[in-house]
Amino acid sequence: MKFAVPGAFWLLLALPVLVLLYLLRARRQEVLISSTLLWQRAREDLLLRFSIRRLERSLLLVLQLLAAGLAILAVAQPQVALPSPRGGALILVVDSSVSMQATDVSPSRFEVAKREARALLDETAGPVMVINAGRIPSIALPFADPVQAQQVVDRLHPTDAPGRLEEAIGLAVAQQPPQGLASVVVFTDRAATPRPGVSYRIIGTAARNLGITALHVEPSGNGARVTVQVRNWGDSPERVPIVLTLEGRRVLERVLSIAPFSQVAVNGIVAGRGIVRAELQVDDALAVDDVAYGIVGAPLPRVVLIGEENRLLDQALAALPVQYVPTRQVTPEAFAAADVVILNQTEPVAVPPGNYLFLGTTATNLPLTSNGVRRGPQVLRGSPTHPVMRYVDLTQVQIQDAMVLRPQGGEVLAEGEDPLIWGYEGAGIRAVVVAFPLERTDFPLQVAFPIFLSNALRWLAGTDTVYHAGDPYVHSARGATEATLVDPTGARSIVPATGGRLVIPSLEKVGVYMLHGGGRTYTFVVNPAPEGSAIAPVGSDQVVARSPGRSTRTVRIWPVFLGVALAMLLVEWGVWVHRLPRTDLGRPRAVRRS
Amino acid sequence: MVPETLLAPEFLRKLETLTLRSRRAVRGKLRGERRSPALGRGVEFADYRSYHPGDDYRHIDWNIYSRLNRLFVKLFSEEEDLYVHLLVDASRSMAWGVPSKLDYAIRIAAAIGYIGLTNLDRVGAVLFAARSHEVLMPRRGRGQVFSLFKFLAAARSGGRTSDLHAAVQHYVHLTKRRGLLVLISDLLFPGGYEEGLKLARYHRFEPFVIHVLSDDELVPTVRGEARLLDAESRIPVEVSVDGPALDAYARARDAYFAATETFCQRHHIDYLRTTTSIPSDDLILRYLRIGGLIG
Repeated sequence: MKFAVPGAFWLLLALPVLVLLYLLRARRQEVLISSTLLWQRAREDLLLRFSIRRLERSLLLVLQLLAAGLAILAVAQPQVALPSPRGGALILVVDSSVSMQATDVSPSRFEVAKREARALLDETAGPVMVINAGRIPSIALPFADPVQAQQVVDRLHPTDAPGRLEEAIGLAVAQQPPQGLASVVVFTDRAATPRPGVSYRIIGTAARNLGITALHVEPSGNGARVTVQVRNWGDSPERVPIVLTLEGRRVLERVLSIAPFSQVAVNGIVAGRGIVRAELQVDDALAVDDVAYGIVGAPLPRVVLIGEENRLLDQALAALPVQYVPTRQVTPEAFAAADVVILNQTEPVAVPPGNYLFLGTTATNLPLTSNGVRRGPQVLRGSPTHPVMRYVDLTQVQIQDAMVLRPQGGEVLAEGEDPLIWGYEGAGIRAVVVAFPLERTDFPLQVAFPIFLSNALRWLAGTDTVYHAGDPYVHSARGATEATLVDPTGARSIVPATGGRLVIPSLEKVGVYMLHGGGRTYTFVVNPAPEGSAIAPVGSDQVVARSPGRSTRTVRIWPVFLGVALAMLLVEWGVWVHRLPRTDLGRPRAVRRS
Repeated sequence: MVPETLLAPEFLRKLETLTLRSRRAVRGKLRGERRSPALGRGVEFADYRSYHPGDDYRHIDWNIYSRLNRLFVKLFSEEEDLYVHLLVDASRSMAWGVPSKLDYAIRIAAAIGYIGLTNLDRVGAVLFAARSHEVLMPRRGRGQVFSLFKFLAAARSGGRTSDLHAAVQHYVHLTKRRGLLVLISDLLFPGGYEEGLKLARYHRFEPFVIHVLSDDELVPTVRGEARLLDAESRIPVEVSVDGPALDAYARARDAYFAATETFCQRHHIDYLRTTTSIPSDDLILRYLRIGGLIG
């Protein structure tokens, strides 16, 4: 207990004075009365009860001293520190990652987390913030009263994607409540790095889980080879049946034996086209990762070549899984029909939104200028992390001459003295510019060329059809202003085009999606992310790092002392009044002689 | 207090229908409306006695003579006037109360005196305080009402120590006629009231005590540390007036009242206790009837 005005304790010196005055007694007031006859007789009676009277007077004195002492305590303004978060600001972080769907606790980890969060809110009086710790941590509710927080918690739902708990906690710790400091309570199944003021409620008990970690589809003849990887995340061996279906038709059925903490793969040839579905027939804690999808016979990206013909380029394109359409006319129809347009040594023109591979040429509406020609440049540096340059080795490439490029944005993928390969994405255009024509280099003769061409077309076309839960989805809008997305549950939503792209920040549900826009329909599937299948709880409720300064709130309790002091005075007054005699002698009393 | 305002005219008209009651026959001076112990010319038959020479022939019972052949005369009760002696305590302690006990006592005395005078009784009054006594000798007739009221209205409380015994002793020597003695007092005599009343009984007065108190004498209003001074004796009493002290006062008061009632019963004295908060009209018209003084 602390006191805001400790100087008030000097008033305690008044208590001995009170006792002294009580002992010395106040000066008697002189009162003239009609007769002291009865008082003289009463005084004799009082002298007989002197000891009892002294005790009674002592009780009154004690009560008066108590009242005065409590009043002085109230003046000193006592304060006590009570544990937060009952009264202070509170930030709830609710993990909505896929592992929170585990049913090892009934009905599920996520529902238990919500229930515990609501129970905590029932005890909370201060402002509350709710953070949804999903794939993209977000503030579900800014600081508001606990009643609103209850409603927001009720509306939370888990995703099929792994979460980013560290980022969510970082977001929570960075928040500034309206007053004082906030304590953070995280409801999750795996504790993150301990931080001051952050406490964890770990939910979950079991680790047994089997999940599909990957599903690959490779074209093979009239069908495709489907490979499925299954991992046992538990600590005991498991035997699990797996069933592959193509458009609902069962095409493969196996029983897998999987050792603890290991994975096995199963593959098979699937004839036909459509959505292939793999399902583990197992009753484990997490059902989301027991299913995965793939697309057999997905439409190949259409590639249009405009400009000079090149035999080596034609051969490379023919070998790649694309629909290659050579043309010499630069027409709007040619642009609209293609997923990727290759411009080989054409005159620079302004290109409409789309995907372009410029070979020895540029476009006038790109943030790029060409200033002359450099003889015999050499590739000195590359950007191997970029999807276009992955596994592409340009160190042995000889270049006769190349344009001197001056980019104003974008990303240089390979350069010598000047940029030689440049990538750009913006204003509805995705482009790769190669500063040198193929005729003036031995690059088409290098092993790196088909790899580069495959990477570039894949990146430019955006032809991925398989994603993991939580991945972003970006696709060219092709001039459309919006598209309609149909998710695995059949729900439709509008995806507006932003910068010529259709962007879905996070694919949160596992299943088959369809995107309708620009007169075309794109089908893609979302599979469970491998890291989301590790459901073993990490940490415990003891993983609590809470700094004392942030875990308490100060409450002023002087009104309590003042109230008790007043109560003491009332009791003292009551004792006094209770002892007053009640006389009813108002009526005349007559005694008649007998 | 002026005589005209002592009692209201409406109240006086009510009093004219009342009479004073005496519990035994009293001997008066003139023929009145009271039965006298003396046998004489009244209308109410009392007894027979043998005829003696000189007796009035008209009182001989000739019917008895015809049967017994002896002369007997009929005796009748003499109706005489009643002597009413009003003793009003005018000591300093009577100045307390709202209204003051003295004013209250004077109104009662005036009312009793008025009833007596209108019924041809003889009414005398004494205002006693300490050793000074003012006496209005008994007089008779409605015409004496104004003099009685004037006498009572002139009363002032005073004196250091009142003494009932001295007052009674002084008065019995002034009047030889006994009768109803109405004492109106707070009975807070330092020397006690017992000897005075005993003396009155000894001289064959018929005392009727009207004990007048103020409310603050029943339940004191003083609180805290006090030095109480007696208005008459000036004897101080230091006391802490708190709950227990008030309880002790209540016990002393009740014991005092009980002793007074016992004393009066033992000595055949009528006793009526009242406080000044009871309207004097109610006291006279209701409670004095109950007490047996007025009929």
